[in-house]
Amino acid sequence: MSNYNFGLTTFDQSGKLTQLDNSLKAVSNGDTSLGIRAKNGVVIITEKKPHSPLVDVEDWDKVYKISTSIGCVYSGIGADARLLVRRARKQAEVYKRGYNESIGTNICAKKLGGIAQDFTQSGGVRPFGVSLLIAGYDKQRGCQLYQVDPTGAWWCWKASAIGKNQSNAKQFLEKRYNDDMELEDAISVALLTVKEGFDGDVTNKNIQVGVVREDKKSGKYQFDVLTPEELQDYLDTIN
Amino acid sequence: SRNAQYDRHITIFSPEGKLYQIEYSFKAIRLPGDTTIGVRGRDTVCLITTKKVPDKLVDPSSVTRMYRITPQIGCCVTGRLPDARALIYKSRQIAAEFQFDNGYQIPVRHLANEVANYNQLFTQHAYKRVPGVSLLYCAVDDEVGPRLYMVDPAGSCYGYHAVSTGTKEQEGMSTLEKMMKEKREEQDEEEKKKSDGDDKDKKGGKTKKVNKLDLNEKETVEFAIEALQKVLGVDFKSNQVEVAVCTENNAKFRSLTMKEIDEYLTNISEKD
Repeated sequence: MSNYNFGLTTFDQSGKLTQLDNSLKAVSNGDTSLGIRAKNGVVIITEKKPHSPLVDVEDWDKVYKISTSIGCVYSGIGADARLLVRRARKQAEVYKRGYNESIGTNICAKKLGGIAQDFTQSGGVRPFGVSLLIAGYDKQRGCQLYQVDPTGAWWCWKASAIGKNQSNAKQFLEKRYNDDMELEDAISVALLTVKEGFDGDVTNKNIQVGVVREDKKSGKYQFDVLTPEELQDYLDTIN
Repeated sequence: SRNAQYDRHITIFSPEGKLYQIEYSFKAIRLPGDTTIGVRGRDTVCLITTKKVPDKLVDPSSVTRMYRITPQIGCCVTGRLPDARALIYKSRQIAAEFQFDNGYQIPVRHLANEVANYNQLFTQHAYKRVPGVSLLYCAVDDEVGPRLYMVDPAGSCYGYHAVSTGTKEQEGMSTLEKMMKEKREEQDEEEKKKSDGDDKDKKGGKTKKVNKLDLNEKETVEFAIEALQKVLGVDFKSNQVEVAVCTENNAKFRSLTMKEIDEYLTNISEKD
């Protein structure tokens, strides 16, 4: 099928992998996303900026569920993100079948990092143009937030931002974050951070929020995408 | 490094983080000179596109860019026609396998996303170039109603209330935005007249401001035809366009006959 038996991401004389630098640039050209880990949950938010007012924004999902207790948002090339999410969902299911246990957030991040790294070294492919913020819960480590980069590197964050406004957002988060945050506080801080760097008014239609939280009925932690109504309630609180 | 010269030839990143091949493929869509417009109404989706018969000896009935993926889902392609045919084949394959595996018709949203994911592969692998086609999928879904999706060479897929693609894509989008705004203002005026100043259900007039176009079948098709007329700047005849619809009453994707198109064109000219 492919005659490209050589890698496209190769070292230059100064030891840099230019394609990786360029792919990180593609990520910082993307719409901002951010996440905050609280004591009892995780919140991840992404901007939904359509390229035209004719786009049906309500039909557009940018927050993805990977397993019952893990979800993610992205910054960068949406099409690449969809591919990674698809692989993540498969990995989560394969893990469950093999170990009879839900995949841990850190393992999920590790596997995604491995997939991303593949594309930085294999023949005839370019790296992914997207970074993911993965929020999840597992029994061993509780609520966690991970970032996966096109380079294949992954980190665990207390709070982080990716995309266009990442440096300003991270500064804002550093000031407002504390280790004792509850999920409700975290959601408010996250919304305020998005509001800071947002071009125009934040509504429940031009952002999307995912949370890892304890379900009141079952007592289990799960990942949910906030409905527009729930989101509006949170927005009303901070206004 | 060596790769710096290749970022325009294959889909690897440029120093600005761009993929030049994808940007070039958008230009390839504009090259043949066709423009397509899709409009979604209350219970109808309408696709309209220009039709240019290349030679007098060509059988005009064989010239078409409207394809049926399933009896309910239709697709209009714009751009490089050979690439388009390959993607139509792939769409039909995806739809048929879904039907076989799951026992029911593929929802148009899922189909559009699967085709977009297929396009994404070519943006990441060097051995195949990106197809120079944009596809407009339409259907009246039995769960969510009329839907319109556009898939482009970058692997993006968005749902639209109205969209244009092809040579006059930008003019089309701005015309459609303008027409939608005017239509909504028209509809708001009519609502105000009906309720006659009754403010109880209005909450400042902001309750029902949805982005949708509340048009029936006839109005949707007229909207689409008028939009194309404005964009092209000429009055066209029924043999210079193709129009296709899916409606709630008749969920099958069907092309309008020249006679039906003529009726619409006459109605529109009589309105002015």
